[in-house]
Amino acid sequence: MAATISYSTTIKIGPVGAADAYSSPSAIAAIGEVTSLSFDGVAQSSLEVTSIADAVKRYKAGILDAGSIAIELNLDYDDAQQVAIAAAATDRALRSYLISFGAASTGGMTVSGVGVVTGFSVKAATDAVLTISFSIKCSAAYTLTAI
Amino acid sequence: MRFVEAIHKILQQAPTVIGFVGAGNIFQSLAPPTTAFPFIVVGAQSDDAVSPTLTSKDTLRRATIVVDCVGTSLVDAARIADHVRYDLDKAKGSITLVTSATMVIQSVIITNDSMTFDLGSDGGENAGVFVCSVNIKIYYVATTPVPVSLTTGL
Repeated sequence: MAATISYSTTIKIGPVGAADAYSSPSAIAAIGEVTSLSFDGVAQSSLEVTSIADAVKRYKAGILDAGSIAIELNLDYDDAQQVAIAAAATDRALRSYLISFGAASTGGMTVSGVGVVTGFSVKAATDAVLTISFSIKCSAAYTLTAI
Repeated sequence: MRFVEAIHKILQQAPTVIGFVGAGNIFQSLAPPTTAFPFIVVGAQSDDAVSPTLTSKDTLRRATIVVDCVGTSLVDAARIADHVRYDLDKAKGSITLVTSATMVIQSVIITNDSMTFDLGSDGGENAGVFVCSVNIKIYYVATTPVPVSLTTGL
C-alpha cells in the first residue's frame, strides 16, 4: 500500500458511557468543515534508575500521557456538530472521540478514546474565512484500529 | 464558470453602470465587432477553493474577474470603471442566473484597476480605444459536488 491522502479524514465527538468509559460515536455525524486535525499522540515519561555502580544512565518507562487533539475548522454554525463541540468546551464533561484518518480504500486507521475539550477560539481576519479552533486533552488510553 | 454570468447579471442591474452604457452593452468574454461604444466585457481570470476541508466538500470559492470598460475617450472609460466600483464593491446576496439556478454571493470586492490604450489591429489614428480594467474578487457558494464512484470494466 502506498502513502495515504488526508482527504476523508473525519472526527466525531459523542457522550461517554458508564463510569466515563468510551462509547463509540460512530452513529453521530462528523464535525463539518474541518481543515486540519492533529493528534499529537502518546508521550512516554522516563524514570531514571541509575545506580552508583553504573557507567551509563539507566531508565525505566514511567506513566503514559495520551496526548491531545487540535482541530481547525471553517466556521459553519449551521453544522450541529460544531455547535455540539462548542458546548463541550464549557460543560466540563468528558467526551468520546473517534478520528478516522483516511479511508478504508486508502489504508487508513482510527484513533478512539475519551477526552475533555480544553480550548475554543474563533478568528476573523480581513479577506479570510472565519475559523474556529478546538483542542481536546485525551484522557487515559486510546485505541488504534485499521479501517 | 457561472460566476462570470453572475457578475454580468449584477452589472445589468447596477443602476449607475447601466445608466452610462445600457444593460444591453455588457458582454461575457468578448463583445461583437459591431458593438457601439461604450461597452463592458466581463472575463474570468481564476477560480479557487477558499479553504478546502479534509472531506473536500466545502463549496465557498473565490474567483477573480476582470471587467473591461471600453470607451472612445479616456473620460468615458474611467467613468464607467468608477461606476463599476461604486455599484459592485462589497455587494452581497443571492442572484438567480439565466439557468434559473440561484447563486449565493458572500462578497464582491474591488481589488484594483488599471488603464490602457488599445491601438487596434491596424494602428490607425482613429481605431484606438481606451480600456479601464477593474479587477474584482468574488466569494461565492458553488454547488456541492456529487462525485461519481470510480469503477472498471465499463
